[in-house]
Amino acid sequence: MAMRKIATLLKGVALLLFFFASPTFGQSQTVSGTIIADDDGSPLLGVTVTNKSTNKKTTTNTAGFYSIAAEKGQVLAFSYVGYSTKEMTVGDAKSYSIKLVLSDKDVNEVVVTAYGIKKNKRDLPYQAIVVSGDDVANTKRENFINSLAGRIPGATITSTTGLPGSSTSIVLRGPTSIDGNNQPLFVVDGLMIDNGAFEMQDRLPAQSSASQNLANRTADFANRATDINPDDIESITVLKGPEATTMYGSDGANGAILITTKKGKKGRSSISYSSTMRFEKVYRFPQIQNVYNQGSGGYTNENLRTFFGAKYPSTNTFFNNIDNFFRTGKSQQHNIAIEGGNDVSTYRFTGTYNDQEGIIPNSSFKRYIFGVTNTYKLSTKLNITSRITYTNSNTTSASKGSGGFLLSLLTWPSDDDIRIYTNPDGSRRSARQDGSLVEDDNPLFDVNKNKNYNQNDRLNGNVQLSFDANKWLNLTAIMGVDYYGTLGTLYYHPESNIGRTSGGLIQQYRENQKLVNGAYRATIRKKTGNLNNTIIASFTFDTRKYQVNAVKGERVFDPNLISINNVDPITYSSLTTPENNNRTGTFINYTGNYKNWLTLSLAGRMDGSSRLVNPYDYESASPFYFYWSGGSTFIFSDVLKVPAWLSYGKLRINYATTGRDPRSAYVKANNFQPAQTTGGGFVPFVTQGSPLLKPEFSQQFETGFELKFLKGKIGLDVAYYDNRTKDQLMSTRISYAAGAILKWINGGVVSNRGIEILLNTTPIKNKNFTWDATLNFAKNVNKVIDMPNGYTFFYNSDTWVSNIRGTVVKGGSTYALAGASFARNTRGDLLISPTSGLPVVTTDYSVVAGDRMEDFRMGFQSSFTYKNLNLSFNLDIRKGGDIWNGTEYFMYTRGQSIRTLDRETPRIVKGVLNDGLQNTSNPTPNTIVVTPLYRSDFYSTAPDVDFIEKDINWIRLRDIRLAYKLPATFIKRQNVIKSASIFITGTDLFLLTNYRGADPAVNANNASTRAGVGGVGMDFGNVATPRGLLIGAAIQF
Amino acid sequence: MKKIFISLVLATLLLSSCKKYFDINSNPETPQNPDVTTLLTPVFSQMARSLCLDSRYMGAYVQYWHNFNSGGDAYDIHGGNPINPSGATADIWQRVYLQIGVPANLIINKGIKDQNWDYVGVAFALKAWAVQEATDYCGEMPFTEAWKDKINFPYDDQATVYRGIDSMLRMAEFYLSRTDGTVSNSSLKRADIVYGGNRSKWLKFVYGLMARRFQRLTNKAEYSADSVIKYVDLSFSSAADNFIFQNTATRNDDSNPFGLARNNFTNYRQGRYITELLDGTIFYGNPSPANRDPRLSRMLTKSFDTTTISSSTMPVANGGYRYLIPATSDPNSGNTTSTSAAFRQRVSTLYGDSIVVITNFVNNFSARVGKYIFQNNAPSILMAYHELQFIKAEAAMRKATPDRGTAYVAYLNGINAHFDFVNSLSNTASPSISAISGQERSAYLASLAVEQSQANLSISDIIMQKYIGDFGWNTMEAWCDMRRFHYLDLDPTDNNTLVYKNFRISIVSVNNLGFKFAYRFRPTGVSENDWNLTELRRIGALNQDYHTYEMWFSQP
Repeated sequence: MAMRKIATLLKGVALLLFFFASPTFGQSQTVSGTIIADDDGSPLLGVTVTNKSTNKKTTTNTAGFYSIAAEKGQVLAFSYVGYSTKEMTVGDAKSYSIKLVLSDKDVNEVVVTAYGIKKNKRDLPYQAIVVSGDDVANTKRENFINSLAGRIPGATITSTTGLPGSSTSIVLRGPTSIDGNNQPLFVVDGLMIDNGAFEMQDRLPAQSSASQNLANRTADFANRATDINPDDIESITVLKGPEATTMYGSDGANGAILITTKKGKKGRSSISYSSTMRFEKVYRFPQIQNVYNQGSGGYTNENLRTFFGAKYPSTNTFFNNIDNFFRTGKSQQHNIAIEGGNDVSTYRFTGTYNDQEGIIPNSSFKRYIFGVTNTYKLSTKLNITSRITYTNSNTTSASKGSGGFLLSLLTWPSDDDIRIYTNPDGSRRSARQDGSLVEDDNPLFDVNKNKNYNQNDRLNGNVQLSFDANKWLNLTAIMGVDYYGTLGTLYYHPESNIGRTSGGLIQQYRENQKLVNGAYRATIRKKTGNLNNTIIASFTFDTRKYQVNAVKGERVFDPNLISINNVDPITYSSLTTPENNNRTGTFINYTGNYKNWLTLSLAGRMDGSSRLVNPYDYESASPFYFYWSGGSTFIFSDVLKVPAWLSYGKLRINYATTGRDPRSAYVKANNFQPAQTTGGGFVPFVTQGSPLLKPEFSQQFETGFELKFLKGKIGLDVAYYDNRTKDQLMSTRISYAAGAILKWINGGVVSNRGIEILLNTTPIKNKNFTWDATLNFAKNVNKVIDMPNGYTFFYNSDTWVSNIRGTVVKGGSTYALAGASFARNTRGDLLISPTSGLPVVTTDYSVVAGDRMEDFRMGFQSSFTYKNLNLSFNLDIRKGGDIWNGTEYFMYTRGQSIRTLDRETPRIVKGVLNDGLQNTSNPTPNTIVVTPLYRSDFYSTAPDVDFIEKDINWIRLRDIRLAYKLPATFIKRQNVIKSASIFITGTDLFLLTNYRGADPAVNANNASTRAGVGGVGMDFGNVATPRGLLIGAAIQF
Repeated sequence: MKKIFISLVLATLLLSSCKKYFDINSNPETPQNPDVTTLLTPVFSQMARSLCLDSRYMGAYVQYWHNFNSGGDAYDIHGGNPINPSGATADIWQRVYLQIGVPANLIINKGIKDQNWDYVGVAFALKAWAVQEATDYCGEMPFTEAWKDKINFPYDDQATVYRGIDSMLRMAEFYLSRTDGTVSNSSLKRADIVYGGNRSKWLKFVYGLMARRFQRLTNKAEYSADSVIKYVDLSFSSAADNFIFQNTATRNDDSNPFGLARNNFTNYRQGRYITELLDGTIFYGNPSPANRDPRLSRMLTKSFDTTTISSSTMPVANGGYRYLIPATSDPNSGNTTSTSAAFRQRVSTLYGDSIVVITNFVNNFSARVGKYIFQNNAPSILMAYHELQFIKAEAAMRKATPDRGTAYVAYLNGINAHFDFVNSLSNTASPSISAISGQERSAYLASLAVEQSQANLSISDIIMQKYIGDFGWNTMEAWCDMRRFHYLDLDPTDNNTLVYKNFRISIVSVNNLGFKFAYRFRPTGVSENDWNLTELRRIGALNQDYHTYEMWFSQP
């Protein structure tokens, strides 16, 4: 450290001497050249070139070109935020091309914003969070979204289950839409990609005896962003702010996750290889009671799957069914990257292979990803970047929710060996004494005989052309295709509880999506006086063609052959569901930068969406809608006198509106469905067309500041936002008198207000030891300000699980829950039935009983580096917010919860009798003694909302990683290995929580439920995220 | 290169203004503007379904059947459907607007444009049928403003709705009588699985609906027995005219909703009154074998154990035709051990003798199992000749001077036609359900159960036979009759006896509302509580006893 300082000092002194010693040296001349980034060879715009002798300054244009008056021997300094400043002494030549190297410390200072536009963080009028690709890749999670938990202030990330290939949903800054999609847009290298999860509801032909529940509750399908190789990610920029959403239009109204992929590095070819092994164990499992046998009212009856019988005989043999069911999950991952290039072109080839076996028998996830990225410089003016990625993933998942393996496992009699799931003749063995198959499947039968598997092939690629027409004009075109096809099968064995009534059921579907999109952009940068003007005009389009072809068959001939050919032909039915839309966006943005400390930005965007077109009458509704944004930044530390410890200070303010089209196509006109009834024909669809539907609008305001202290050792970024979304688009129940069950309407206002804080520090940094820490904090207040047309409550039918559902009422939160609850009199006393002595339970879904929205959320990441050893961890902290413990509800109402062990204690439920006097001034107090042992309904009729656990907090160690890098001394001794490291990573090692269930961060639906917030915070029959331990090695040649 | 690039940008910009690019918002896999022929066929199944599903609850009021495992079933004790949102009891309410009303309106609008007069006429008839059913079920309902692009709907009183039914039936008559335009048997036949495109049969159906509508008003001064007789005579001339269609029964959706596979009636078991009418208890005072109606074994079902006498489900030996008393569950309902005596004494399901638990039959479409209308592949029947004959018989008795001759002929026609009807549903594949022989029939016709003298014919005689004839398939008609007679009215032609002889209502005070009979169902809260609360309040539908408000049609 000291040595370097002295060297710099000496250099400075030398230069000074030189300057003064030769005052008339050389002749006046102009020096010019191009400045490019060392990392990807792209020209850098806005690099400040300073002639240190004359103090004259200039900046580079869009082509990275500069021209400055300088004489031989003078020193030019090239500085650019995010890159190390470089100095050069002018020699005889007149042209100097400079490569700037990324500076490690300031890697976050250049931010990739919408459409791949790189912006100086100084000029951004909104908070932009950047997560480095390595942080994500190092956790080695198959679904990279799970690695983001805790790292982004204001992001709520919920994994559906802890199973391989499960889906994960993400919401930024709170849900803005009661019934719309609340997940952000995913963008790779400037173009949007699809992050859909297969939505089975209304897309698979139903079982003829209709006992199978298709509403996204009982099965899970991966969200398609999992097709991205985490090792290909250079960085992730999370745009939550309003201007960001203005830039992406409809789909970006919930923010955008921008992924920049790695490009090849110039120089000698290198090969990197890493390999990891991970082991997973089930963590935090609900406890079951082993005292009372199956039965009811204190009498043993082994035909029942309720545990209200007599005590188990003391001679009883118990089996550890839970341990016998789960297994150790194992997975391996191999990554290879080959890269290299020269001044003209670079290449990067990557391949990854995952093979994961989950903690549930037969659950697995296998994936290959191959990708190639090329950059090519066709001329000094024209650059081409291309990327193509192929992903193949195979998922076999297990059931979930009602009728799924977990709830069955929890209520499997402990005195019955779960491992014997078939009879000697191979048929399904029942836990019931009478052998009846009318009960939830043995979980091992379920995971071995029922199947939900799918195979997905995805091709994603784009080409980007960047053309510098002249010094001030750059034209860029990006064209991309995102194509995937999934072939999926759901199979219910003929003896399974679901398949039993239909003689076995196979549903097979082919899901195809083709998204073609493009963005054309012109960037004009012109300086007028002290004002740097930038105008970006762009035009984008996306054309999406989506179709699911599904077929169903029943009455399976050979139960061991899972094939759609293996069914009674008379039972076939099929369904084709298309969803096509075309959209355009025309966008213009002006940014004026005054002396580099004050910027003003204005943007306007006009979107066009085919989803707004009325197909009966094109002229009646315009596909276009307009919105705008404006923002300003002020670097006050550059202008005002600030104390020395404050090295940087910036204020920012921003206001924007955003429009959003309906989440589905074809909602403007009436649709029809093929009739399944005798004679066929067409029947009107349950949803009526809404010709007058208009886009949903958000108004978003954000302000904040960024401060840096002690020469950047501490950085603070605070954002406050206030978003309002009005004219909510809802597909809601209407009066049947209109001739339909559902209809899309506009109305209602949702507000999200919150604060987000990001604190970075490097408390210690010296030659051998570095300690970095990042703390983020986010608090969001979500409120439904108004409901449409006096509508009292709205619910998303997918969230109707058991007798509880996500219910939206005026004044409540979008995360509210309502359901069956204890009835009370006007004074709030429990009403007690005069005949049973038990509380009266009612179902009133308009009375909110819980709110899943947390009070605040925090993330803490820290990294310690000592010489070649690095330890880093990521903590995810949440305070408050309610969770419905549906799994406990299920166990409680079936007498399997340990909370039912007090059943022999006689008690009087405190309350008043529901005898007609309950609301008078003199209600009758309850005096009826109840001994639950003899009254199973004391437990079995408990209302759902009684299992909403209030104010759930957690601290979750998302990941911890210890890595050791081979010392440089070793690397230097040979020429083959450039670097090598070994590491050990723990994922989800611990969870400290006041939640009584297994895992509060699960979803009773899955990420495909794009309407509202879905089943987040509803824990029903989902296995918790397992703990994982991973060891691995990486080597680069 | 530059030129190519710029022209590419311009080309795309042009595209954005192009209608072709955006005008893709119609689902390519379903029609946006379907042909009338594709819309009509599904309506028939929806009609059958709406009537069948809600007859589960009406059936408890009229005591055709009761819920076997719930002694406190609200409908057994003349309770109402809940004010809180619930999808139950709402099949008629939903279908009149959605599955029947919407396609009927589409057929009418498109058909008038394309001169498909026959389709238009049929659509008016079906819509009239559905509205009649809905108003007789719920009373006040949105009608004049219904099907409009609105959020809130006013409710019309029943008198208005009845006038609307009248005009729809007259429109149906008008359009079905037209022969111009594109009207042809072959055109209508494409969608008409009921009458195969025969418009004269459709006209008969329309007249049958008129007869039903006018007969509802027997308590009113405006009632005209002559009109009823006139319309019955214009209507079905034999069972060949019955409104009937065959269910394909290959899967759940194309099976008879009364059938086993659909499993809608598993919890419903035959009631006391229908059993006592058929086993001889009411007509003879005891159910000895000679007193039993030959239809007993063809319409109702017997348990495994046909001998053991139990206090509630079979107090007297009647051949094992155990039944439920309203508000009393089957004491053996919880028993599922097939070998136990209690299991063998359970009241059988309506699906067939000794079928007490449905297991293998759900989704089993191939086997012809089941009894009477309770078979997967039994036809759906929505109007029958015998019902109209009973209507005519009653109307003739209600003339200022009762026309006993006409009434008696129609009465016997009705009984005979119902015997034919039962035989048409006999199931030879399932054991022991053979057709009623001529001998059995003539013995019955000569018995005490049938009024032997024209002079002694009473309305009660007619209505009790009509009640038998309506069993199951026509529960709505049976309930309308019972409401016209306020359940326990005395016979107008013989003021000493109840119309429904020996009919006993198990009624307990519902929610402290006093002892009142059920007259209507509340509009479903599922769709109405949110949008039409003001109207619900106005008509009283938010009152606990709304379901006991007497209908306009049965009031004087």
